[in-house]
Parts: sequence; structure tokens; C-alpha cells
Amino acid sequence: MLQIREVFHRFGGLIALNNVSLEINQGELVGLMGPNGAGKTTLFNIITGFISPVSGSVYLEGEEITHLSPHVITQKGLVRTFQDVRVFEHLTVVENVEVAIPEGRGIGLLGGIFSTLKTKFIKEFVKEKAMEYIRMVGLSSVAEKSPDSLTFGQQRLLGIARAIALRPKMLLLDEPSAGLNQDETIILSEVIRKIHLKGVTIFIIEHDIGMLLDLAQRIIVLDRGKKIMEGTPEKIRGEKSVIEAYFGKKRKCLV
Amino acid sequence: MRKTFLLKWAVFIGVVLTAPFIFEYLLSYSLEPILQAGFFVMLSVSLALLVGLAGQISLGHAAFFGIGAYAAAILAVKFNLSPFLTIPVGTLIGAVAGFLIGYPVLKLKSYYLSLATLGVGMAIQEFFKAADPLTGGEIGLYNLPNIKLGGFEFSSSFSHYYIVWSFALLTVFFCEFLSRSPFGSRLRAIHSDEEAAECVGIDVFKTKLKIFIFSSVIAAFAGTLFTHCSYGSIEPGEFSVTLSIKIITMVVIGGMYSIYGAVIGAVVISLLPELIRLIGSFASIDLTQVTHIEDVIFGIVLVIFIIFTPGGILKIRGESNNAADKRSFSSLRRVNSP
Repeated sequence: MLQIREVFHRFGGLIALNNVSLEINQGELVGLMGPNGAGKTTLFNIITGFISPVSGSVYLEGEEITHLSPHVITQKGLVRTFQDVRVFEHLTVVENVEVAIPEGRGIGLLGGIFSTLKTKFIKEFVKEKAMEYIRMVGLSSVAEKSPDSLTFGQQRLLGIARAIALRPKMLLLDEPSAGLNQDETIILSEVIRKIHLKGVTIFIIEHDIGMLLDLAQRIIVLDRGKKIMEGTPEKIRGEKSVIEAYFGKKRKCLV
Repeated sequence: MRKTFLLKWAVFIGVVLTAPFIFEYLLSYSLEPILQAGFFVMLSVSLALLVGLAGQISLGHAAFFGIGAYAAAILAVKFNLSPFLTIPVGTLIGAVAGFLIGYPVLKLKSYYLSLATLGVGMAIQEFFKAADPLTGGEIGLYNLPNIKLGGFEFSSSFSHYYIVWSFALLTVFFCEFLSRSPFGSRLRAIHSDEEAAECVGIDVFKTKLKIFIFSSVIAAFAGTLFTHCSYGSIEPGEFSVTLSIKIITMVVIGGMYSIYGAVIGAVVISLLPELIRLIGSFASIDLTQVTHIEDVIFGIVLVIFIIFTPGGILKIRGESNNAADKRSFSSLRRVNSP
């Protein structure tokens, strides 16, 4: 599904990624972990086209996507969410999802002015679909509100609804549980599992190691721009010494 | 929803139809201010798409108005073409100018975009002054023809008023449609967060360029009408940065975000000088003698609105909802912190 070959990137003198290679197969749910500054988000930014790497390449389903624009990569079915959510504050909750629905892109500037039967049909379809996703993440009661009025957890769920509205083949989730309380984390895990069951390949950065070990089929560990480990959650759990070296001994969930 | 929409438009059209009679016969006043208001409505509504919806602050809108006006005037005076040709060709030239200017400047963001459009606007005004053989230099062009249909010449203020306002109404109607369409939603998404917009598959640059060109086309079209349905002459001073600022003021007063707000802003600002004159005459002072009194008052009005009612006039009327207020606040915040 996704192949990353020898990706190298630096910011000035700081090497952010040092020849990282990895592969994610169709239908997998893979976790990416590592301490702050390990290069996780940089890797996501390179995969999704926000950063052009100094060297190396990224392939989606065998096709090179290394230097494409983010919107082209998104349209190819590789969709990401952000660590800091980034909902569209100028749109209502349901409109946030509507803009993501691919059919809506068929209505351009002129299509917006001169409403035909076809554009009317598309509009209704888009609205209906958007409500479906809103219901899926449990936000239907606030659908017509401004996203500013949502809690942080709700905004995060909205971000995920917006991502799945694009009908991705593969979803990159950047710390989806950051800032969520326990209940919200449980709902989130549930939603992620549901999406995965629908056949979407998922690559997830997560600091909540308990959640990651619970969800992921395979885990990749990055540190200082290098891939230091890769394996099943059981294997990672077993490698206590390595984990402790990066996260300290206090994390009860690991023991 | 549909009912209030129809009612709004019925009132709107009714006011537009009767206004000249009220001005001419009841107030025995010149039609000039309400004719100019028609041009301003087109300008402010088109800029509201760019500034309010898409969040791209242009300080050079007057330049496109000027390009349309000069293109039509040059074609009419130097090439003796009929308004039925000068208007579409002038509008087309506006579209080309929109593309040529929009393509490079839209690579810039926030302040830099505003500064670049400001610079381009000034440069274009200087061009009008300098290209004497074509544009008539500082004096400008005069003896501009009226629109003639069959044997009838649209030469009276009344006929000018109705031509300009019918197109102004059409502009408002189409722009309102556009702002509610999926394309309008995409513009708002770009306004909120360009990177996140890319991540829902929106081609941000292309979308911005499209709305920039569309906005320029409306401004240029208004310019071509200004050539044929106004004073019968144009001069470079009319297309200055002051005009661009005036148009921005209209959009801000209207609440940044709403098309109808931009209409109200345009009408209020274009009638403001008359109001000043009226107040002055009550106090028996000729305020128009005070240099740049209008500009001073525009400045004060702009600042008052930004500080106290970022939601614009519609908010004072209590019409805009909570979400819209927040939108206006955040769009202003964005201006301050890119």
C-alpha cells in the first residue's frame, strides 16, 4: 500500500529523518511511536506532501507520490488528520464534513452560481452523506453549530469524520488521542476500529501507548530520525529495556 | 427559509425601483449618489467574495474597476466601438488582468498579499496617468458614449440608474448563490486553514485564483458600466488606493462575511458624504470645504466598526447568528496574527 524508501530530511543542521524505510500493507493498522523530536510528524508531513524530502521517495500503491501537492495526494486516497485538529471555524460542523466529500468537488465556481438539476442532486447527496459521517462519530446534535462551540474531544472526532468523508484508502492519524479524556479515548478507539474494519489501512502516531498496543497489529519505533524497532505489540511489549530507555520506567501500562 | 429569501428580495427590489422617485421628486435631490451606490454595491460584493469568504485581503480592487473603465473608454473613444462591444471586451480584459495579477500575488499570504495588491493598484493608477496617448493622461478620457438601443439613447440619470442597478441586483443574487454553494464552502475552508483545506482535497491555489479572477471580472464589468452610464468622463484620480480602502470599509461595515452585509455597507458608505453635507447644512457649516473630511470620517467609521462590532451592521440589527460573529472575530484576528 505505502512504501517509504530511504527518506532523508534535515532542517538546517538538524537531521530529522535519517534514511528511513518502511512498508505498510493493504488493510494493516500500524502504529508509529517514539519520543518527542523523533521525526514522526516530519515523516507524516513528507508522506502527505507538505514537505519535500532532501532524498528518498514515497510510493502509494506502487506509484511515486514524493513531490506531489498535498491535495493531489489526498485525492489519491491518502488522507491525514492533524495533531492540533484544525477544524474549519468558518463552516458549521456539518459543512466541515461536506467540503470533504469528493462528489462536492464536481460543483465549481459556475456550478455554484447556476444551479441545475444535477448540482441540486449532488448538493443533496453531499448533505446526506455528511450527516451519515456526523452520526457515526456521534455529533448529530451539534451538526448545525459552529465548531468553536465544541469541546476539544468533539473537534477531534469531527476531524476524523472529515477525514473518512474523503473515503480514504489509507488514513494517517497524528496523535488522535492527545488532549482527550478517558471516555473520549474509548469512543475514539472504537471509531478507529470501525474504520479499520471497513478495510481502510491505518497508520497512527500515538503517545497513549496503552491504546496503541491495544489497537495496532504492528508497531514501528522511531528515535532521532532512525527506525530502531519494528514488530508486533507483543514483541514491543517484550522489549521493555528499549521502551524504558525512551519513555522512562513510570509508564504503568507497559509493565 | 425560502419565504424569508423571497421577502428579502421583494423588499430589496422594491427599494431599488422606488429610490430614484423618492430622491428626485420627494427630496428633489440629485440621483448621482444612488447611482454611484450601484457601482459600489458591485465592487463591495465582489470584494466580499475575496476578502470575507476566502480571506484574501486585496487592497487593489479599484485597479480592476479602473481597468474595465479605461478598456471600455479607450475602445469607445479611440476605436469608435459600440458599448455592446466595449462592455464585454472590457470585462474580458478585466479577466485577463485578474489572471495575470492574481497568479503571482496569490503565491503570497496575509500582509504580503495585501501589500502586493496595494502596490499593483498604485502601479496601475500610475499607468493610467502615464500612458497619455491611450488614456489621456491626468485629464483622462471624456465624451464617452451612452448606451444606445435602436433609436433610444440611455442618457438620463434615470436610465443610467436602472441599468446599473439591474446589474447590481444580478451581481448580488449570483454572489449570494455562490457563497452558499459548495464552492463557497471551499472558500471558507481556505479562509479557516489553508493546510487543512489541502488535506480535504481542495486545490487551494487554483481555488483562490478562480475567485480572484471572478472578483476582478465583476469589478471590471462595473468599470465598463461606469464608462457608459455615469459622468461621461473618467480620470485616473477616480481609481486610486483611496477607492480601494473605501471598498474594504464597505465590506468590513457589512460584517466581512455576508454578501447582504456588503450591500448595506456599500449603500451606507456611498450615501455618507451626502449625510455629512446634510448635517453640515443644518449647522450652517459647509463641511465639504474641510479638506478630505470624507476620508477622515471613513477612517473613523472603519475603526469604530472593527473595535465595537466586528459582526458588522447586520449584527446591530440582531440578525446574524452566533457562528457568524465568531467568524468575523476570527477573520479579524487572522489579519492581526498571520
